[in-house]
Amino acid sequence: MVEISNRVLAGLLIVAIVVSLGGTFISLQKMRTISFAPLTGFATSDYGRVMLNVTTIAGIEFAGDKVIDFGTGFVNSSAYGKGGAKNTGNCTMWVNGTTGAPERYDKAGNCLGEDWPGFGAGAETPLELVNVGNTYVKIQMASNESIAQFFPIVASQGIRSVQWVGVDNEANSCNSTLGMVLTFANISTGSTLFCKCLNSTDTKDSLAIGAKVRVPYDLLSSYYKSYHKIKWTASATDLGASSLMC
Amino acid sequence: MDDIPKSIILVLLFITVLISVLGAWTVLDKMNSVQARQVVIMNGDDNAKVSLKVLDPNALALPRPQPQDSGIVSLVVMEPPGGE
Repeated sequence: MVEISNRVLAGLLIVAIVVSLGGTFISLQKMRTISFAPLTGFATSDYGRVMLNVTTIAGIEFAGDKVIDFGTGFVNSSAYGKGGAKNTGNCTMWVNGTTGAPERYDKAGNCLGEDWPGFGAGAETPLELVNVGNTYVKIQMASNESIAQFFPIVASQGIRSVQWVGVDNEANSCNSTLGMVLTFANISTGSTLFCKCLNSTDTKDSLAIGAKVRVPYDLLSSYYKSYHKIKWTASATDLGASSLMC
Repeated sequence: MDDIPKSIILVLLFITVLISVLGAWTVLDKMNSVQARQVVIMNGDDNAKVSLKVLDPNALALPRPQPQDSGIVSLVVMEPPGGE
């Protein structure tokens, strides 16, 4: 057998060196290009981002029992209106202010019966209208009946009225007092502006709606002894989430 | 032509072994550093999970806010005693 010469051995060794260096280089290059996503799914950054889209909703709601109940009573037949005529006599009662600090009144001597004499010292509160959505809203109110429909009288001589009033139940709930019904005004079956721009922030998003009635003496006899109600409907117009629209 | 002396062969052999060992060590070291980084990330504080479940508002029992609501003013009027 022929001996391998040193020259051949040297050649083989050089080939071995080249292969070794090449293999290392290729391995390192391969490692650099390995995609870790399939292996790990680990965070490559300390921060994450969550995108959340909150839908805007315009919504209002009368809180609580949604009723101002003046209760049961009758007009004193000896009550006098203008000139002392009985048919102009009336019983006046109201509740206004806020739900936290309501003011009540009943005309002493004129309002008799089960509940009316004590109405002023009672526990009735204004209606609380709350913006339950997350946008600014314009509030308008309309009554389902006119004063004449609610208090039908015999000879159109009695002093009768149904009035409403709307103030901030929480300070600065309404962004502008312009056009608000800040003092008692006769109800209307048409839309009446109560607040140009009602906030949706929890601490200032409600109106207090008060009511005043003057129950006339000369109501139609068919009116007596039955439960009467008048419905006030509040409507909200969505002004969007920015106060710029107020 | 003279053959290469054995000393050259020895040097080449030594270089070959050295490069082979160093190459293998480099690759293994790189591998270890990659694995170590993965473990640290997996057990460290960098990982958090944020989750939320979006409910179908139409399937909720709660009513959706409405842009309209009504309040009531009510009373009962009795006939005045001795009324005409």
